[in-house]
Formats: sequence, C-alpha cells, structure tokens
Amino acid sequence: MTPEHWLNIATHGLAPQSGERVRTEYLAHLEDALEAGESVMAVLTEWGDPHRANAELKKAHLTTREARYLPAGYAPTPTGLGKAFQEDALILGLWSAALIRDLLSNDFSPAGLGLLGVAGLVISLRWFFLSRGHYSQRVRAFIWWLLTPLHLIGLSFLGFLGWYFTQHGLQVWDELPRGWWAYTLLLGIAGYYTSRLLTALSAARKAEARAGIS
Amino acid sequence: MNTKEQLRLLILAVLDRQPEHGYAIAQAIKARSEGVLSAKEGSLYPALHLLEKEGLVESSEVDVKGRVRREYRLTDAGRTALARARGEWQRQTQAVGAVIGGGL
Repeated sequence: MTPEHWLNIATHGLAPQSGERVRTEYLAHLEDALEAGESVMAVLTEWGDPHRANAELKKAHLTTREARYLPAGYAPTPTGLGKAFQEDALILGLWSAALIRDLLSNDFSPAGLGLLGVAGLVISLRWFFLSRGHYSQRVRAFIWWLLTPLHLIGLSFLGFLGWYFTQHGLQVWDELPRGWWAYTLLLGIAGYYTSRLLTALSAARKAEARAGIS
Repeated sequence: MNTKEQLRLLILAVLDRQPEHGYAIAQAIKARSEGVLSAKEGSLYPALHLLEKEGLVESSEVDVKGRVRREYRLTDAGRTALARARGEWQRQTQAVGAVIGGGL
C-alpha cells in the first residue's frame, strides 16, 4: 500500500474541506518522518488500518452526507427565493399535476389548493429565515428541517395520529389497517424524520466547531 | 480508562508543556515512554481532531523551518480536562497497585 492509497481510504466520505485538511496533516507527518530517517513502510505500519482511521475521522469531521444537511442559505433576492422553490420543485409539480387532474375531472378540492398555498408559504418562510445570516448553524439546520414541505407532511401525519390517539385511545389500533406493515410504516416515517433532524444537528455542531478553528 | 482515553491523556500531557504539531506529539509520546507507548492505528490525528472539536485543544497553521505545519495547543478547558484525567489515572493506578502488590 502507498501513502496515497492509505489516504484515499482514510479520507473517504469526508467533506472536501475536511478531507483536504486531514490529507495535508498526514502528508506533513510523512514528510517529517522520512526526514527523520523512517521508511514509508514504517510510517504506514504506524498509521495502521486506514478503514479504522476513516471511522474515527468521521466522528470529528463533517462527512459528505452530513454536508448535504447543512443549508447553504439563500440570497435575499428573487433569485434566492426561486432557488428555495426549485429545491421543492418535484413535490410542488406533483401536487399541481394532481390538482389539474382533479380540475379536469370536475373533482376540484379548494383544500388541495389551500395546502399548495401553505407549501408555498412554508418555502417562502424558509427562504426568509435562511437568507438572514444571523442564526447559528444549529438554528439554521433546524429551520431547514422544519420548513421543508415533505418534512411537514410527515410531521403533520404523525401529529394527526397523535391527536387521534389522544381522542380515541387504544381503539385507534383497531381502526388502523391490520398487519405489521402499518406499524412498520409508522415507525419508519418517525425514524426517518428523526434521523434527518439528528444528522442535520450533528452536522451543524461539527461545522460550528470547525468555524472556531483558524 | 480505555486505550482511547489514555491516548487523549497522553496528547493533553504532551501539549501541557508546549504547543506541538502532529509528528512532534507522536515523537514526544514515544520518547517520554522510552518506546513503550505510541499512537498506533492512525489514531493520533482523529484523537487530536476530536479534542479540537470538543474545545480542549486549538490549532493554527505555523511556519516550521520553512514548512507549513498545524500546531496544537491546550485551551483552558483542556487544562481542566487534563487535571481531571491525571487525577483519575492516579486513582486507577493506585487501585491496581493495591490489588496486585509487588511494591507498586
């Protein structure tokens, strides 16, 4: 194994800036070791298993997956607002298509149009808050998580179930579709949204720590 | 105290004397332990970076003999953590010594 191969494995999955910093430090270490008379093999032996180093480095550094959960924010301009809407273009498009279909089949529901308006409002609020630069990374990550229509749909669904449960007690389980899949689906949705929030907050913490480093 | 905690303690103890860069920290651990201890498994930098993330050390790039190196130094929180870890280590070694005897 060469140092380059070792570093490729050890930095795999790290965000580019983190990967570059790690690479620079290890290469500086190698340079110092070679100058002190150590061999490349001895240094690699000392570095050990690159997969293990990679797992440890991911605890300290932002990963590419986590970086996706860090909102870059928007410009406080119409282009910035357009970018916010563009990010949810798929769900807005599908929703609009469903409304048009209902309209053509004389089954139009004003509630559906109202919900589309709410989605537009949520996206506008996300743009408004994230185009202001005075929030911490953690607050920004939370705003991004909360003000995403898909997340709100999931949360509303869970909220509705919670409300229904308080109104009807354990009877609710009798009214739910039978079979394990219904419970698995509920747990899956709850787990999915919770994990997205936790990942966003973890990424924000790492980014804040990194921001304090010169 | 497990291996990772021991390495954290060793790093903090080395940096308690003076700021150092990665290779110098590894060398200091080896030299002071007369070759018995070393930061194996590529674990030195992950440990350093985690200590930095926790605010126990801080780093900056400095010029060392015409080369750019990232130098680490203890923060006040790091000194407090070091004092606590030293106390814990002494308590453990005394406890083990009391059990196994042999003049420890």
